[in-house]
Amino acid sequence: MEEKKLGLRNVISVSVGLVIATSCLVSLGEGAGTIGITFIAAMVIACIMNMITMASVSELNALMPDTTGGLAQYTLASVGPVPTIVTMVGGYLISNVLSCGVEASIFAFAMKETIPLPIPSFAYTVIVTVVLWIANLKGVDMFAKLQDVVAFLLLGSMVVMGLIGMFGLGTGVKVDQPMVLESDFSTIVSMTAVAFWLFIGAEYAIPISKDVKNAKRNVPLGMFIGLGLICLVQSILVFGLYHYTDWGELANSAAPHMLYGMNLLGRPGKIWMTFVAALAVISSQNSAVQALPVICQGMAKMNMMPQFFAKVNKNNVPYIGVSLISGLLLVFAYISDNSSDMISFLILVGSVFWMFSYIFGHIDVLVLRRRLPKAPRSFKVPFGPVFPIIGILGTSYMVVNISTDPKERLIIWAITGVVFLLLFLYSVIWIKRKMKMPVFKSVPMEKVLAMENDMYYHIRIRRGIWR
Amino acid sequence: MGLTKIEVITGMSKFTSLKHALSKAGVGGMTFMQVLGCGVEKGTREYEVDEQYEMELLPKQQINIVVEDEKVDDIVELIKQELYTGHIGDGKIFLYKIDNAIRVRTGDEGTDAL
Repeated sequence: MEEKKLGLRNVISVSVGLVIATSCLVSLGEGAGTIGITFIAAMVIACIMNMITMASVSELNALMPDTTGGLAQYTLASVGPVPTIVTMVGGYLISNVLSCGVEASIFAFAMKETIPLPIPSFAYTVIVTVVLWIANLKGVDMFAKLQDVVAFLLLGSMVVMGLIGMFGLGTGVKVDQPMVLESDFSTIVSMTAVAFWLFIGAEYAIPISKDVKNAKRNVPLGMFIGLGLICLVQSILVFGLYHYTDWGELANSAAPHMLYGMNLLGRPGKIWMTFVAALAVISSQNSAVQALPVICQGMAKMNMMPQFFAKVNKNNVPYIGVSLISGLLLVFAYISDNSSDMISFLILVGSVFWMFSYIFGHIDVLVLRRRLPKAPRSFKVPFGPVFPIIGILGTSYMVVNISTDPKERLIIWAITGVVFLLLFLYSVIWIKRKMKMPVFKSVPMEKVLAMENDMYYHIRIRRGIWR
Repeated sequence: MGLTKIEVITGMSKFTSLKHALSKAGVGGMTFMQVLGCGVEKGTREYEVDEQYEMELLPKQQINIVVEDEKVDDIVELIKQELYTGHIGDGKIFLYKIDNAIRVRTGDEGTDAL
């Protein structure tokens, strides 16, 4: 029997490493810059909502363990193929590409400010993207060993810089400003949509659960502790920001971590934060360019996306997905280049897409509990349907209140609506023509799990059942 | 105190982890057999399109244990958790009431014989 090597500490490490990113600092800066330290309350609410989502995802993983597609397969088994394609392609792929594009433009802005070469800032993005594209095509994971180190470097820097700022020990000039800009409950709750971005992505720890000792306890617990740690660290950082960074400047900054580093410790602080954040961005981008094509490959195996996503090169890399994701990343990086408003806007758009996939995660739990009440679940969300229902309502509330600016809110909904409509049309046509199955009928769970086997697809193609 | 025989039929790959889990749970002995069998799918592989017309018997393993009645629910739950993958072929558990058990060497009967 293979010994399981990972423990609670590893799950916490992976959860934190996968969630923490420089785009979180933009949301942190925007939120704190808008309402002051009361943004911490919004963060706590968003953290709790994400913990509830992680609980639901943990139960789904207990019911359908070792699946490569994750939320796609859970949704396929519970509500059918159309919501799967819409929420996975829209909810996951698009929001991840958006977030990486935004991270890349934050990186470019920071590099331009710190190392002012006579080249446009976008050139930094292009260089990094091309290097990662080539490395991934060759199957080289440049960051396999560094991923944890980089994530903890960023987290550690946030803790240290946050504590220095919180206790007023920085070398820079303290800012005299009110602690609280807005304190009414409805404003704080409406900022949870901004705070949401600080905590998304912990579900990426689920794939390691087969290697974790006492997984039914350690995986959900590790994700909860990881999210709690992130909340604590970012709360400390908010106090640091209050002492050393003007709220107005913060809300409008494209690289608040750099601004804070500069204000706190002068040029050394700025260079340190730029360096750490650059590593984190490159690491996040590398993860996206690696992982998203694998999701596309998994969906192609289920015949939910075109087969060219499943094609691999001689290094066993899904090269078309890698190239497409890298290209899209550059597009979003270009759109948001040098614009803090566009960066914030794209983060909110990405959040909405991701929120929809989380809402479906909760729906999957409720549907599968009804359909398979007695199936063994090594982890089950306590108190019946209470937490999944809170998750659906809370996340829906965040979608409805995605922005405090009504005009921006309408534009975000319009973009989301158009994208989901296009995906809906694509999925209906695709499912009817290629998969030849009912579009809204769920696929039995054992069939969804059988799709993990390559033979499932090959036999159906050979017999002309799938095209 | 009554005794129950728990008969588990499952795929070939899960024996070691099941044995380990049952040992940790305090199960005092077991019998293992390699058998051939199939369920309602008649041995059809999970990725196949049509169900087999005739039953195809696949290699399986059968594990028999005898436990006190009050431990049955916990042991069955443990076995279910250990064997569960969600895939076709996870297996079946059968429960039988045991009238008596006797240890030959000492003559002990009932739970003392376990």
